[in-house]
Amino acid sequence: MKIEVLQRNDLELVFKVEGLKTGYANALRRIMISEVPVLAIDEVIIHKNSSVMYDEILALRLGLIPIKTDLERFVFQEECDCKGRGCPLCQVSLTLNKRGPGVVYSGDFISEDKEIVPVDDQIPIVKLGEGQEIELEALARLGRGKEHAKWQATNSCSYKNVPLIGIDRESCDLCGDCVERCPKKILEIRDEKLIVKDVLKCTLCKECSEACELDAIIPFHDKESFIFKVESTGSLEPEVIVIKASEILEEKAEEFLRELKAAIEGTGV
Amino acid sequence: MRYRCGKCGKEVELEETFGIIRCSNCGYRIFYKERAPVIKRVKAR
Amino acid sequence: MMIPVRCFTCGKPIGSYYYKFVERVKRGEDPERVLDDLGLKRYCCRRMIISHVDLIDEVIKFSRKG
Repeated sequence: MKIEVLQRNDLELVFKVEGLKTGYANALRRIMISEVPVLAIDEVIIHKNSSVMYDEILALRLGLIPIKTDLERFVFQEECDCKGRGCPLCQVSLTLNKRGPGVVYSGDFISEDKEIVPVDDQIPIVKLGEGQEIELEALARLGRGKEHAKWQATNSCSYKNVPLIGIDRESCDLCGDCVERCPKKILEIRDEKLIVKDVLKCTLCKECSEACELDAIIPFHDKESFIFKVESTGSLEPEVIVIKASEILEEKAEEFLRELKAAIEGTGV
Repeated sequence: MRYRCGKCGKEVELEETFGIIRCSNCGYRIFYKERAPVIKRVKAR
Repeated sequence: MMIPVRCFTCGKPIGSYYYKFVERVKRGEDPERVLDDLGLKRYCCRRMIISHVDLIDEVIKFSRKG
């Protein structure tokens, strides 16, 4: 197996993996989407709300705000030693007090833990009119994307096979039809030769082979190489998501092995 | 139960007015129910 | 009412872009350019911003008295 990072910026990680089966790639993708835990506001204690927005809508909006997460420091509330009562290990309290007029932003939250704050402090929550007031406490907890989308660590998380373009140089007459038809504009005729500028951008749409009357160009894909694109919501670094997802996959495989061994021993085969 | 008059904003105890819904201050007939002074716990989902 | 916090389809947090978008378009910039510049690549996220009407200003006037 060979891994190569193609692109990395603050929210996005693009990497290529060679020597991987589709099933494995898909398992990794699905775990990244639905099983990597992040913090999100789960319960809101409303003391005062004279804004025009109902408490439930306000709470839903608060829940969707991504929160910076440190996975080392937190455990799931169900698995915590405090037995779900709520302690600094499984819960973070954020308070919000504001009086109108003006817009309440996610940056107005005051967190009891200075590292656990909203990712973006510019997200508008509600607009308050003259004399309107909100006063509430929000409890952020760890959760998984399969329970609610607010706990999803990734927003776009996908893979595709590595595209390859086969060119038969002997039958190609350099007509340039394929160069024109390609929607991604990755083909070019240079020095009397048809060349591919960036294969990875190819979407395998097959426009080029349809344009070619001589069947000299065929795009295909490598069945055992993948390009992953992981886009984070900002609560976790994209590479942390991939690492955590691999760890979860490993745990699942280990659990399966353990149970299987126990089951076989139990039947006395 | 206390209600607030929609016009003058005066707080009125409607039970005391013998079933007549009318503001004792300004005579307006639309009332708003006040938000209960209870701390409310809502699930954010 | 208010701009949704996240894109309905992909879940990208888009709430913070709305006021920036409106302000820049009012100043005369090309909406398409502004969306590209804000980093909204997918059409699901772009429609969240383009099609939103901020109705809270209409409702806010009718707040409870007192």
